[in-house]
Amino acid sequence: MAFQEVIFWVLAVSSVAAALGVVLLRDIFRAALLLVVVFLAVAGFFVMMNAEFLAVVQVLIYAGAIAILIIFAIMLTREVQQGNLPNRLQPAAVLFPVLLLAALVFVAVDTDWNLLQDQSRELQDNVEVVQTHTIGGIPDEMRGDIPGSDRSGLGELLINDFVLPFEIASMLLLAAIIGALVLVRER
Amino acid sequence: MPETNLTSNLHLLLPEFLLATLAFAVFAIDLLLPANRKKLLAWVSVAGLIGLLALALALLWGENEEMYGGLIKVDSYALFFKSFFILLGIFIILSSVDYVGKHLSHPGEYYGLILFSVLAMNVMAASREILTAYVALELMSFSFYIMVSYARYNPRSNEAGIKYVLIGAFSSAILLFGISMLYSTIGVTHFADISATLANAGDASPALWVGLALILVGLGFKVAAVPFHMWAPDVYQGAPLPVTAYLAVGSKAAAFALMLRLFAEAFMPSIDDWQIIVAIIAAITMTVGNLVAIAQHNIKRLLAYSSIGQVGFLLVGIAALSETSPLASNGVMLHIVGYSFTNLAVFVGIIAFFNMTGKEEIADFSGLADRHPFLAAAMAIGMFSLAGLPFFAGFTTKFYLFTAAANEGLLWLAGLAIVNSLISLYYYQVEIRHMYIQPAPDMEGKLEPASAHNPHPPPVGGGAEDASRHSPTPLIIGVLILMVLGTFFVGVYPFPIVEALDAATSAILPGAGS
Amino acid sequence: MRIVDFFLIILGLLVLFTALSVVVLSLTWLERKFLGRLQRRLGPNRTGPMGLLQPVADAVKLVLKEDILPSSADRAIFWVAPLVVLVPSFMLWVTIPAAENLVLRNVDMGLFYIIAFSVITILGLVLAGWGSANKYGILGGLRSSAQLISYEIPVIMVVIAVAMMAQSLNLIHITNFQLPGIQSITPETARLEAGIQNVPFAVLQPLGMVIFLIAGLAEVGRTPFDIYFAESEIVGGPFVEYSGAHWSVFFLAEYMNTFIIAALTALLFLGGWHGPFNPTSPQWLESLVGVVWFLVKTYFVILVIFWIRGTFPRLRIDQLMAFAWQVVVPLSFANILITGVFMYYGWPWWSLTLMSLTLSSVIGYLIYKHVTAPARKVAEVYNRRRMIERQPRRQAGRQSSGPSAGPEEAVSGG
Repeated sequence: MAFQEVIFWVLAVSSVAAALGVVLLRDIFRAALLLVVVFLAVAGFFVMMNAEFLAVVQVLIYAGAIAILIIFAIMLTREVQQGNLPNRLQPAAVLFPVLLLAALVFVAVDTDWNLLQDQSRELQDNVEVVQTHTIGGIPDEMRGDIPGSDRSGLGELLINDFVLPFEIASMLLLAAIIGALVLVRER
Repeated sequence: MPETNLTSNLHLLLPEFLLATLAFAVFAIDLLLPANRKKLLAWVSVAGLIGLLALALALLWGENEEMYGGLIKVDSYALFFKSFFILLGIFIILSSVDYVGKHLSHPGEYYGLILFSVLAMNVMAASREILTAYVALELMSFSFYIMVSYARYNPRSNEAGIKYVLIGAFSSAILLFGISMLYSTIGVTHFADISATLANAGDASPALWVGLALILVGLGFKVAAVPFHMWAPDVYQGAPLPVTAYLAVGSKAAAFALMLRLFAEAFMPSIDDWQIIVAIIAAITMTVGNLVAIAQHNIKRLLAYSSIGQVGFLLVGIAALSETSPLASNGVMLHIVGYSFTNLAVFVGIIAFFNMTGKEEIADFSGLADRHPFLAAAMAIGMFSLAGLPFFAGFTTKFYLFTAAANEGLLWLAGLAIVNSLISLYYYQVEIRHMYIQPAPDMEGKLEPASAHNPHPPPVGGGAEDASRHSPTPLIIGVLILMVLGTFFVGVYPFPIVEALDAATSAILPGAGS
Repeated sequence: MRIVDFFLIILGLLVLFTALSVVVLSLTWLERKFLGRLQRRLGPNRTGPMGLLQPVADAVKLVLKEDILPSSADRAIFWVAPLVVLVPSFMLWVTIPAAENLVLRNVDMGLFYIIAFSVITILGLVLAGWGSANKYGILGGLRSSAQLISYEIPVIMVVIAVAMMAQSLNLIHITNFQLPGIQSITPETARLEAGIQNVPFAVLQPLGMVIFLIAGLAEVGRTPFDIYFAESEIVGGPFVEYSGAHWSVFFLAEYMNTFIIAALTALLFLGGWHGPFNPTSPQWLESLVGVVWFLVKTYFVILVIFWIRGTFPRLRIDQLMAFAWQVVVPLSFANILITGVFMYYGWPWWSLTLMSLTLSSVIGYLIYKHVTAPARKVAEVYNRRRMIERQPRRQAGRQSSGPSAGPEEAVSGG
């Protein structure tokens, strides 16, 4: 078993176990901590897929900002250790995700993930490059051709082709800030 | 990367830019105004929106341009919905002036958020790329999350806000997951590319279909279609009344504007696969919505379930979409227009009633016809129209929708929809009976101030509001008259609107010549 | 990746850790000596020559002390917190170059990586506070998360301005960019170089450096900003229940973080390992001189940090947050703005220096006025009262009921 595969399985098992812990633990402080573990494991997956930028963003925003915000909120909450009260919808709450999981596993196993049509031929070539080098790392000279593995390409996409959603996202954040102020401020 | 000229044609987005500017201006003016002059903000917003409407119509009439490499398209479909949403924003602001002055604090942010959501709806209707549409959808949802929980000291409003945020985040996650599955299998996000790929995708992969299904589920949550509707009654009941009206009309119209474009432009080639699913969801939605509405005692909850039923009717139109016929697409848009006029007529009536009495149970409306005959008449007209009686908007629009469904071979669905209209007639009649036949229990109880529902009314306003406790303000009456006229207009003489709709439909379904 | 590479990496990490431990020992000694000098004391002078063995003695004492677990503590969280604080600050060093060829792993977006992983430290502090089941601990944890998240923003914004000019997030590229005559990295950089002149960024962006240093101090909780473990208020905050080896881990992390801030200031703003005397012929000599220059600059910044610690009193929590959101964050955005304007129009390099200096001096003057406002008010009131006392009786009688009532209150309040 290659070294990378070992890392992959460590990440996979720890992320799934931590995610289960997030859902099942009664102490929400510990659940939030396990959420951080999940975030970090996902960042690890991004690194293994040569998306270092996404990995760092994942750590910065999710593990850094969001998780700390969640923990901050929990620290200001009373009766942290008690967790949720049980209710009669619990069987349904188990059943539905299990069905969804079954469907998704079926999808993951049954899909031919190379299904790419003719008009995105060059994209398919890139995907092949990524697939053949996924764990070994993309050689530097091929890096520029692959969208997502090249930061400047990502930046250019964000401020050229996708500048409109980018700007709307900024409006979205502004609306969220205003809303937070309105709902919390006295007077 | 292909060099695209991003700054050419930028003037076509002028209405959006100016709308954002208007929102910022409202936020800024809010800082400068003293607390008792905040009503000015509403007038600024309304004046700005009217100006924008004129500008958009003058500037964009007949335009058909893609921008940002196909992210959005400024065509007659976008223009139709742009004018519709701007008009809607105007009416919502006008009908909330009194309510906000009486029951809500932070008016500046309220109007600004309405403007933000109008902007988001415009972009939703214009976007031809799935992520742009998603971001715009989120902007609209965020504005609504905030407005729903705007009555801070009302526990119901808080509960509604929390429920809406949680369900909204959940549905967004599902929608995004679906989008990611779509992207991971076909590698494109533009509607045109999706359509081309789907047309070639002879051998279906499960991930693609699950992706489409998840997108459908996510949008289903947003419009409150039935297995995903459980948030709607609580949120409708808890939200401040004008926001409930806006939620019932605006968010649904915008989500359907997005859905219509998405299904017509992107998913059309595989209609054989999703048509039956949408049809079944439509059937369940209208049946459940209308049956459960019978059991409601609160007028807001009643209207929530009735709006779920209306979503079912609109989904009938989506299921009946066809590449060659404009009927279904026209029907959906016409129903959106008619439903908006009608529903706003009912809601504005309730707002006027709530401003006077602070009550919102169905039984509280007893004897309304004796005291405020015009109010009762307007609401009755709205409810008849919602039920689909002839001469009102509801009849015409439903007629279009059901004809489209029958043309597409969905006769069973059309039949079920007619049965559902009859069911809905029953619970609207109950409300109308309360207003017209039941006597008012005692006048004293009706006229107590709204303090029971809002323990901390802001100290804004004085003598003018006292007068409005006994009769609706002229402003509300004016909006109500407009809505009733609109209802009749759509019901009796819909042809000018249908003409505009034909142009809009030909923008999203080029094959469907009328 | 082969097995040999794996062991090489492990070896490199061990060497790095040892070097960092030595650095931290030197820092504790230096801090005491320097503070002593500032306060006209001798500092440690008993253990070894000039007290040089004092840090070793301290370390031995800390390791030998008993590790106490509070009975109501959340055991797992309590024990894992020091690691969560230490590991990120150690991981940052993986990508910080001491010389052009002396870096464990040159990550291509090292700057971004450093910012991202330094945030995790906050988590460790919050965990420590929560795990100790102590009200001061929880207060400290809350304060630390509020403070560190607030000051994270200016750090990121200043770093963005630097990366904009160097057109890279790679620390080696950024440092090399500050050396005159270096070959261009990308075509865009070549175009920019004409304007930027390849001087150290401290010259181009004095404002950026000041913000970075201030926010960096807040990030590591050095003295004017050490509100989250302020001994006199919350008796050590998150660390209140820790003792012995676990406490020493926090201590180690704190000094490592201080060293990181100093090293980053040296790399980003002071030209890193470049200096006037830099032979290029044998590679080992070049690296050696480079390390020496790097250490000289870093220790210079460290001394400045100690100097600040010896000079300024601790801020209150409200002053701290207000300073972050009202002064430092807007300034850091202004810094990006002037950098963008400068780069877009391709002005000569000194124009950026000028803009930066103007901005910082104006804001500095405003802050000075704001800080000294109470004292000025007192002086003004004092003067006015003296004038009133000198005036004839009839005017004093009229005025004593009006304005003079206010000033007296102000005097007693101030």
